Amino acid sequence: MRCEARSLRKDWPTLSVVFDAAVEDGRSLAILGPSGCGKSTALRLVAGLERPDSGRLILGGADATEKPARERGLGVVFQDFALFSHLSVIDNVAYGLAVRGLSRAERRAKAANLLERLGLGGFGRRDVASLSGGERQRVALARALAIDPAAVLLDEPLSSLDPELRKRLRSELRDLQRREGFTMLAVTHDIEEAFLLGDEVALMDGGRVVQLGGPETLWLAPADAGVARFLGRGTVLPVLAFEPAPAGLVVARTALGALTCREPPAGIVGVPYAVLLAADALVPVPVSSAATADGSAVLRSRVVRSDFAGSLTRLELETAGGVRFRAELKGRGASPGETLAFAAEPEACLLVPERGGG
Amino acid sequence: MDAPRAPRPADVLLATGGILAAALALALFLVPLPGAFGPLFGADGNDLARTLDDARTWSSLRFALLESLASSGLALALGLPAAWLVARREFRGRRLLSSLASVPFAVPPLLVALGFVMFWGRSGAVNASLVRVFDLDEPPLGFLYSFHGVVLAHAVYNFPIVMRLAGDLWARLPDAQADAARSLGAGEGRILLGVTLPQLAPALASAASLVFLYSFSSFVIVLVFGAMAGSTVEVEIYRAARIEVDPGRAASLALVGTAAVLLLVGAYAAIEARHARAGQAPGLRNQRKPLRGRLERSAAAAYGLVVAVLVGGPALSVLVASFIERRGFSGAFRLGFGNYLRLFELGALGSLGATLALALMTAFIASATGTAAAWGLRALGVRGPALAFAYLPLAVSPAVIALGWTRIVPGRGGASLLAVALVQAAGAWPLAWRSAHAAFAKIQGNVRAAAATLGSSTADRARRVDIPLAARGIASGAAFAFALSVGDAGSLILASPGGVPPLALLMYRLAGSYRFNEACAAGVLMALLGSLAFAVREEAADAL
Repeated sequence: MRCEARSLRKDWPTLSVVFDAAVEDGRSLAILGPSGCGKSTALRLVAGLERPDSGRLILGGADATEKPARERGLGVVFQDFALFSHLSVIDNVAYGLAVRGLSRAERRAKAANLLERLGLGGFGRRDVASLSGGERQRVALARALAIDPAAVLLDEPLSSLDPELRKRLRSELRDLQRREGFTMLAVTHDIEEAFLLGDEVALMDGGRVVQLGGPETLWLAPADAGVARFLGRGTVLPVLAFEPAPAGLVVARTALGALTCREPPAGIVGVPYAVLLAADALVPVPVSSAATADGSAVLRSRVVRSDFAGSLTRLELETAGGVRFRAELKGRGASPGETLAFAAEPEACLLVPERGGG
Repeated sequence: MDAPRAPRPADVLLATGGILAAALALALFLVPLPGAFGPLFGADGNDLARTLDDARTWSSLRFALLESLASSGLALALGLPAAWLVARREFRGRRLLSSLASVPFAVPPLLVALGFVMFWGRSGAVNASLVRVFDLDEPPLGFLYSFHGVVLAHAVYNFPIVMRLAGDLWARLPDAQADAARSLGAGEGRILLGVTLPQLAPALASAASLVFLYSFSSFVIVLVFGAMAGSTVEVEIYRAARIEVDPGRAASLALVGTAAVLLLVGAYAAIEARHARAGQAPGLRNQRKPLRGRLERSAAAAYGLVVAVLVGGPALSVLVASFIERRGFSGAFRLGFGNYLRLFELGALGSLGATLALALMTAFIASATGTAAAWGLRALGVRGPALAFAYLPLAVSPAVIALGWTRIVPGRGGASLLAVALVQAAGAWPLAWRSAHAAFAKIQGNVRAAAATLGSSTADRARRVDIPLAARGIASGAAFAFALSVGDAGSLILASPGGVPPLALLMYRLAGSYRFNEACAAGVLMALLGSLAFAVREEAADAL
């Protein structure tokens, strides 16, 4: 069911959270942000576990702001899973059906079917204390799905699991969401997880949604320097001045010299800007080259740090002027002290306002 | 993220139910107060003045203060070595020693009194052995029915409290300070007096004041042993109400007693608050070491022997005496089940039934109101100092509550069992409430939230989630109330119910008419019934 938060607001003593986002029926939204950014509060506001100070929540076209949690029909999977330790696996899953007055046979059948679909067939009679972390997570999900929820809300659903399991389960969770077709809102602090789980990602910081869009949009066009820093795609350099440039391009002077960027669709407005020098888009060129054919800058620099990561090597480099930036090399490593050159083509230089929403 | 939020109307409605239950529980001891103090406002208004003028009032207060002081001192002396052994040393018998911690709560005072009579009494095991071994004409030990007897009984009964509280802190005391003193050249004795004991002070103060409080409001033990030496206020209330039938004096004494106990409870609460703060800092538990050296081993063995005699002697005497059949006054005897058979001829089956009925009523009243109150207060978000009200019943002595309830719920030929159950429930309530409260507090916030998102209303959640998850705690509160009721002779003696006497009262009456062996048999039955509660609780908890 479509789920829309219109300026849902909660004022805590140290943080005001205002949540604005919408997720279409059958789609999934990842709520991403650093700890303390208000993302868990946002989820609890949607679930009805916190009462908003203002704002509205629209579920499937109807205003659900005043509905208590138990009438919203939203399935919630908690970080610690919050399974009922006094009930067996199947009774945990059937809990919401018992509340809804289904007969014992009906709810057992439905819960057993759901367990089967989630790969937990034969686990029904087990004690929840005997389950592994991954199994608990799936029981919690089955319990939430059993009530045919308008949407499933997950609060850091994978963070209590070990890293190996985490990677496997997030793909499983996403496949399951697509297969079962439920609407999903998932809170996470992990960028990779958010990109994988969400058709769209709501990036939160300081209690606000600072960017809402598809994972690629966030990666390729961060709304501002803060988003760019959080996503960590490259080095963020303040723009010192703009220089004359051909149509459709902008030349920005930074600590690394003049960088040619594409002109933003809205043009340059009178706010401070920065350039995100995307580490993955810098092109290695021979050290002897002075400039590329299209006039892009060539950054000649010394490797200060080289982290080999298999398919690529992450580098930190320093120019003769003492300015550091990051770059990536595919297929080969580099040694500290070695001198390398990278071409900063417009695709690698993203012009972003220092502060978004201005 | 689990910050407080404004309660919803439905929650408020339900919580109101919980508050009503709490009020009901408060009523358990508030309602009898007018009954107890009513005579003060009767036609003759001079009762209070008359009582305060009476030298007996002051001598009972003085006696109570002195015996409580001596009892806590002796309990400290007996309990400290046990605290050290249990906390810092590993040896065979350590678990047995530490299991004595349940004695003050699980063993009824009347059984302690009987045990002391059978062991230390004029014709008890010790005197009988001494007379036989040294061929004496008179039993040599006659201290039991005196100040000393009262103090010894209280100290032996309560020293496990010192062991438990001091031991818990001792186990968590960091070694650093003692090691620092050692490196500066201090001897072990100096370290104990100058470093360790001051660090233990909060726990010692808390334990000593608890023993003082229990000894001050002790009833049965003083009633049995204090006869010649003096009496506490509790005993004076009993005498005024039941023997002298002087309601005005009883009510005045109740007022004096309540004021004194309130003062003591206040002092205890203040000490306890400091203890709680002091006890929070050190977190880790020290490794227990084996006993080292000849001196330590022989001291521990000697101490073990003392405890075995003081605790094991009376307990064993009761058990053995229950199987000894006396033949007339000649002293001839044989072993057998005769005492038990005599008991059943006397109608012990009815007494068992009465005990069971009384204990079930008490357990039900205490745990139903305690659970409802704990749940309601939690739903309303009441936390911290406001919860201290739950301990109020401790401040009003059972004698006062018994006096009040027996006036309000009279029965034929004495008080009704319901009145006695109400008295006992008032005493057991803090425990029942506390175990339910602790069990509810353990349920994680997200589990409640999960129930809400799955569609449970507050009431539905209470039924399906909260109460099943807290069942173990609630059951243990009920078991405590049950055991307390089974062993509680004090309320029965004070209220003196008509009809078939419960076991505890039967036992008291048998002992009172010098039928000690039958009294011991009744005591053994009582102990078995009391321990049954805990066995059943385990079963029930496992079944849930």
